[in-house]
Amino acid sequence: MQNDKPILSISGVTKRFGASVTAVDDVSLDIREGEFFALLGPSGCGKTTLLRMIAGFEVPSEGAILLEGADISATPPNRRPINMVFQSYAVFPHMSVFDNVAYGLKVAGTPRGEIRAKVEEALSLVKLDGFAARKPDQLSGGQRQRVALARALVKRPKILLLDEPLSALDAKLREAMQLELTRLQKSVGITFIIVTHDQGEALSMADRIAVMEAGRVRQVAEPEVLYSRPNCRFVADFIGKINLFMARVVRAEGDLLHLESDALGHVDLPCPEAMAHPAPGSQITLAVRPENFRLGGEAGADDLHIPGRITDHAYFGGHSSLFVEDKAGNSITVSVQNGPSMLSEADKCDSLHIFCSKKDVLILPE
Amino acid sequence: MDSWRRSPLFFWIIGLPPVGWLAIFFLLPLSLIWLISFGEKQGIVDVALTWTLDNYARAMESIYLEILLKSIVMAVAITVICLVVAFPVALLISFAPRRVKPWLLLLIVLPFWTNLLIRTYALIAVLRVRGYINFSLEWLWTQANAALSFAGLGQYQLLGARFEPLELLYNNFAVAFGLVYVFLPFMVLPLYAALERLDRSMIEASLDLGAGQVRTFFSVVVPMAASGIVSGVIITFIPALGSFLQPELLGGTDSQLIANVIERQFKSANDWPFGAALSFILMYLTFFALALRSLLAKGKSAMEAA
Repeated sequence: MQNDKPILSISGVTKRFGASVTAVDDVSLDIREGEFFALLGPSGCGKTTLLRMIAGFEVPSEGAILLEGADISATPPNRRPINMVFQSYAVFPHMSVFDNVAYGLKVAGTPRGEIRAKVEEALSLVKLDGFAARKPDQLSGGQRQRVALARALVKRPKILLLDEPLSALDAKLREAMQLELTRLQKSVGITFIIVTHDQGEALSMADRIAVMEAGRVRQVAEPEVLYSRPNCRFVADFIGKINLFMARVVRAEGDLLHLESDALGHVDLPCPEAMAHPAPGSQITLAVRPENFRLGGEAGADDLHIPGRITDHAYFGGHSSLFVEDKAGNSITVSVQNGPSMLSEADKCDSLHIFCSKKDVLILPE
Repeated sequence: MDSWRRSPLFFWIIGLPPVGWLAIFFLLPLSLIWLISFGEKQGIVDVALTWTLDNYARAMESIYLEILLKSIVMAVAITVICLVVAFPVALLISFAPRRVKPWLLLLIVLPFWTNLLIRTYALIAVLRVRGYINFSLEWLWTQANAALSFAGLGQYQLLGARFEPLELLYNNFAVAFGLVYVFLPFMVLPLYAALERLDRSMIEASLDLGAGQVRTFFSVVVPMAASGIVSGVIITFIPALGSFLQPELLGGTDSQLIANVIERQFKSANDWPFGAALSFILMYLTFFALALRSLLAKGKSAMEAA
């Protein structure tokens, strides 16, 4: 189903509101046909504005949006083969579920007989069989969202846009909907673009994610790449939890950097391919995920070890976060799987060593 | 402390003045008028309560029924015109930038701060033969004539030998004009309130699903503003049905509405029983319209539930 042909090309798109606000700043993205793409970022990063430009509710100040090679930047929303599920769902309260789903077909002049079959098919796709006669005020929030989903899918759009679709649902329902949305996307084969501020949502659902900050795209990658090889400090910090350490470049020997950090001590690391070789004496950031630290045990040959003591811990059921303070007073978060003896043992140690493998230390340019 | 709802003393202290006001100044006089409508005139000022139905029978005479019918037609027309004119105005205000909105609302409410009589007399100055509309038309006529003369067509008198002012005052048009002018804000405000509550993403969803602007307006905006339309229609129709100042001041001899007839009974004709009977017929009609409306609303929701 999925291939590398871009269905949607966003090229150099900028959106300014008034003279002072630049919501989206020179964004270029290629979205492949049939993929589940996520726009991820904190609130105010411009992801919703970008989505609204794809839908046609905003016109780019600069740049172009190409759908299958054709410029649609100035096409009004009702002439785009793109449909949207709104954050508020925007299910028409004065129409039954059936009429809501049929609306887009009626407007397009689909024959009556066809409408009936298509609406029923769409409703069963979102598991709302038998709800056709209900009014929106007789539905729960989750059911209303399914109506919004069916209403958009019944139009068989080239691209389906979802604006924070799960933010209004409670935690349990949200998790179930995440699975269902991915299942649905695979079964209908339509390109989905979802906007979310929830990194867990993006990581679990999307094939690829664009992380946005202050109107710009910082990194576009698969979830695993984004998590294990973030390309900047912002992405590393935004996706999951991470420990950041300042380090000074002592010297560079070919691709090998000799670094000095007050928390990690002396480290030799290969310079990442995408990064220009830093000058000796310059500052860079090192990052280690909490789960890449180990407590106690034997240190391997390639391991870094940090002496410290546990100041606090937080229990999360399956795992715990330990807050370790090193000699220099830096606080390091360590995530451990909770075994029967783990915590009690760790609790006892007032001074301990934590280890991490060199290959788990990330070098971030910013 | 107990909830104030459960404290009877507090409830009575708060509740008594408005209830008393309503009883003394509304229910009591209304009951008196109701009784008078079953009475007979005796001498110049006295009314004897004889439980006669003659007043109601007289109200059914064709001359009064015709005026009543005309009043209803007029009130319906006023309401429809107000609705058609007010909807775009309300839409414009609700979509205006946040900073401009209060000023536009102020413009709508501003006429309320001026006395109705003064506003109606001002309309006379606008509409009369030597009023502002005719002055403007005459000016246009003169300019057009000058332009024609300049073009060498002056001798043909294409626009007539002299300017004929329009007869805008003292007819049914003037009454309708005056009533629409007075009741427009009553229609704009509830419509505005309903449109202001309308979630903008509903409109976007309709566009997104392929509907054009016109389709979106009639399929989404109008039905979702239904509550505002209903309140606007009610608070326009009822006072329009009972209006007497505009027909009196702006209307001609054929512009009398039912309220003028009622007013005449109480004043110049000095026939309180008949005036009272007409008043109550008008009131029953209003009640009937309201009951019909709520019955329709109930039937509609029952149909939807089924």
